[in-house]
Amino acid sequence: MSGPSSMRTPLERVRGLGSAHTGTSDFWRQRLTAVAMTLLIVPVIVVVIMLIGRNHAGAAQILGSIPIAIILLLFIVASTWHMKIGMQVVIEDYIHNEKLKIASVMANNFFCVAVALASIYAILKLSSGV
Amino acid sequence: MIVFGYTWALMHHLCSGIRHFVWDLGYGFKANEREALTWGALIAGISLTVLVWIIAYAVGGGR
Amino acid sequence: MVEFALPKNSKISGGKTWPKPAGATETREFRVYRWNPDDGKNPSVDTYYVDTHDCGPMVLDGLIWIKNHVDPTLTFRRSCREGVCGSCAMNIDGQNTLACTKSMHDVGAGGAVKVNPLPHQPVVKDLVPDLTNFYAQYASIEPWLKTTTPTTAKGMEAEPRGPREARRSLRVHPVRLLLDLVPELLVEQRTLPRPRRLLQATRWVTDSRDEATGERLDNLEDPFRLYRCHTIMNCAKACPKGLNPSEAIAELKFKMVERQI
Ligand code: SF4
Ligand code: FES
Repeated sequence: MSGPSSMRTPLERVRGLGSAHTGTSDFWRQRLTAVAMTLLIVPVIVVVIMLIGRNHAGAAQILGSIPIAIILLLFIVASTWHMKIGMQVVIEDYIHNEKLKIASVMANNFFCVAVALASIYAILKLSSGV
Repeated sequence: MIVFGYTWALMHHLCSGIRHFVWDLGYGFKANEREALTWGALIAGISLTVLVWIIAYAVGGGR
Repeated sequence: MVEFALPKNSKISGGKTWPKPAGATETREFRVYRWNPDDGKNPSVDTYYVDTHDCGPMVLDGLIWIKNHVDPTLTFRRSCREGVCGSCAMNIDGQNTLACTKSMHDVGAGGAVKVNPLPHQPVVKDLVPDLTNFYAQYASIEPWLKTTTPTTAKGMEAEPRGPREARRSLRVHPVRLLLDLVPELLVEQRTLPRPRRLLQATRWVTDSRDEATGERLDNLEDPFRLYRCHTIMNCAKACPKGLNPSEAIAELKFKMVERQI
């Protein structure tokens, strides 16, 4: 309640820059990816258990199966997207410096895309047996 | 051990997610329902973690 | 960043222990937050002893007893003394609640009753918080009926509703509207839209006579308004009137999805 904003009326301070008119799409996508992962979690765990202790060739053989590779790819897309939205919410909650917040949201986006692409690349590489 | 912790984190997140999904749909807001859902998620998360590890050992124990 | 510590001039230091009332057979210890804007000192916590045989059972009774018998400078708000007006909302033993409906025997496990002002807003003096922002937030949801259709001589009648809806429409009565101000005070709030404001917004969004539903939803759809609520349920737990803002907020979020998908 001090500084340059103190000349503004309380109502003006509460209204701030106005409503962004967004948020529902992220809310919806967070639920969409959550439901997708809930459905995918059982097959994914089965695959992971199958993979325990296999060597490179064994893993490549399992991932060579198209349905298995697709299940894993779907899970990667859903989970990294879910992770991106979730981390952004945490950043918005706890980082109140505008510039630092924008930088963090950017870094979060880069990180999630990088994780997603690296994981997808790894699966494709193993399953195509290159 | 670390992987065990990670499994638990994942399973707890899953169960809590389901709990929040129930709330999103507009159910389970009474005080006793809230408590039950929260405890349920905690316990289900732990049970699922243990279950997954038992299965993993039963299936992959040899390797 | 998040602030984990109080600013320097808000740190609590020292405090005075007032003498036990003479001739009292049974006393209860009260530790009360004190801050005086005029003496330039940091806030402190004073210790008082209340004669429980000479005093009502509620925490508010204790505070009034202290003001009458020990220290007339102790400052707090109260009015109805029956949980209706919300004036006496304060933090008692870590819980935001109403001092007039909280029995001193239910808190502190027989030890001291710890009384602090509501958190997250500037203190005017002692237990009195500055509610400017609170009223501004209330005004920002535009808590009045908005219509473009001219009202008939008979006025507009609300659609008959189920029991829950009916309870909400009861609050159309201006007095009830004021009563509705009560609970917002009790909720821990850091970001702009506090639960009660969203609860109140839901009341207008669902009013069958209101013609501005879409506008109201537009105004709420923002990552830092409606979507800053993560359904933590603290508000529902704190509410001494048994209201459930979390539920109302879930209803709003559902409506948002409904109009987009
Ligand atoms: S739900 Fe209860 S505690 Fe929360 S703001 Fe409303 S009245 Fe207050
Ligand atoms: S004095 Fe009115 S609610 Fe406590």
